[in-house]
Amino acid sequence: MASLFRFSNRVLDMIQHRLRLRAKSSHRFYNKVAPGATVSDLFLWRLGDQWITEFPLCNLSSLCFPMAPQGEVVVVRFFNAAGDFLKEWETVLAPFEEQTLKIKEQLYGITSDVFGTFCVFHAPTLKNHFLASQTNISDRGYVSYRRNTDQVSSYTHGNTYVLSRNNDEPNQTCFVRYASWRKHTYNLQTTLDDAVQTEVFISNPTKNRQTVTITQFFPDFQTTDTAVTLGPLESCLFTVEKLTRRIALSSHVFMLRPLVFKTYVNGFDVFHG
Amino acid sequence: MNYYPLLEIQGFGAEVQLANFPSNGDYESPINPVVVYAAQTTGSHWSIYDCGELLPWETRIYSRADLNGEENPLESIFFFMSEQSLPNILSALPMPSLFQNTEPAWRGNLRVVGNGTVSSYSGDYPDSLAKLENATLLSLSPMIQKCPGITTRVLIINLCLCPTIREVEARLITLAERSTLQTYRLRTNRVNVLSVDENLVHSASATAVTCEGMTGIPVFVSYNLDRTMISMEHTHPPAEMMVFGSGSARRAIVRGLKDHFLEKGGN
Repeated sequence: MASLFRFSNRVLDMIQHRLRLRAKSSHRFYNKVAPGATVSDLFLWRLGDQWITEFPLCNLSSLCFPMAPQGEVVVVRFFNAAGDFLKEWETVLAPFEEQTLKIKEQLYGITSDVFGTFCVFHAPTLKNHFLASQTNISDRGYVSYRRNTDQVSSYTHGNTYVLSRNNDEPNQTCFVRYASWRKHTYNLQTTLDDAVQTEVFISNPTKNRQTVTITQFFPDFQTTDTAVTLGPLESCLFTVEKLTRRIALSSHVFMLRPLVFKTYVNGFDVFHG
Repeated sequence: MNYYPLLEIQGFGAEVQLANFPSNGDYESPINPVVVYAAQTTGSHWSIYDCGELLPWETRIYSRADLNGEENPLESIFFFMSEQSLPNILSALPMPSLFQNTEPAWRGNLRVVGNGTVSSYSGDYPDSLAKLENATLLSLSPMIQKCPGITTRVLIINLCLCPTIREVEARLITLAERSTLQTYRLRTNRVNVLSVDENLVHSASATAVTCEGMTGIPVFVSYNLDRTMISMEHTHPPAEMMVFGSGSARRAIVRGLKDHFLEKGGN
């Protein structure tokens, strides 16, 4: 059975390769999102004794339509590591305004988890602009992380559309598709063994349980597979074993890419795979 | 063909890590050996430097040292991988190569090396962007760090297939008033490093970087005095603020906002 899956994957890869199917066709991996709904990536927050996470909130409606600057209601929804909803927070941004979202202030006394996720939904006051163009406003913003003793915050952007929300409805919708008949393998195209410690953050962007296999490749050509099963919006912070040269992630979800934290002697690096 | 710029900032090391395997695919996909080249413009042609072979599933870190001192120390370097061998002079950079036609894109790890730390992002400069000779750039980024003791540099990476060197003007503006805070002279086919005047930015509201006559990838780099902590991230293009629906409608919105911030911008 496994070899049949591998064969079908290879045939599909060859067809994709021959037809030069790529970025523009990636929307086939998403369910339809209602016109006027707002879209957000699923961002990681890290807290605890060591970490501080912040997120600059920008008035995206005014950036999209600067000729008619408008106020904007921004709704932030927080989830714990298990993917459970923790709280919703709302703010109003004046035209072109930026506010800093301080995660520690938001989640103080609400959870003991040291990491989880959040999403950011924008509700323009002039909704017709987006409805008329049949497109959806989306926040792919820049999350900043720093440790308590750090002067510099390290930024990284969102990299996968995950959730949408109709402004008339209270909850969000996962619109990422997955194919139970096909496995996708994502190879991280960089090595990890130059860091003191490497942590890999992954989250399940779908509304169904997913199993992700993390394969660690060692210099002696040995590999270790670790299977992680995640519920909807559940996330995991995986500490890579010492000497791991690189990793690959296999799952039924396309574009399941990790966020990588590499700790060095003095500072740290955070980037998307 | 994807290109990988060496992000050189005074006082820091610069490295590009390249991998000869795709981001997406099972382990049995056929992968051929490639030659890694470095390209550097002279203004009239591209000088091409052979940096050696990269075997299937191999990764390697490249830096200016791989050019053995034969290059112009003042010009930027762009690495790329090729299945074909190339001459050491080209009138234009090579066009797309099928083997890198993957999704997610075939990325390199672009690194800035500090004092006991590294900051990087996984990225590339795609040939589709290098084909745009006369485009515009608008970076709507909140990544300038306004804290004492922190320096922020904005890198504007530009690469064109043709080696011509042109100068263009870029501006750091405020979003609401469209007032110009700083102006810069940029060059094509270069990793341009822009200084941000902390005094101007401290008192300003949200800012943007604009440039007419040249597109590129903006990268924000912040660091502390002893360079033990670095942040580096590229910005999304404005089109990423919208998703789904009609592509032409999204393009119209981007045209409108670029008209607003670029053509009519500045005092």
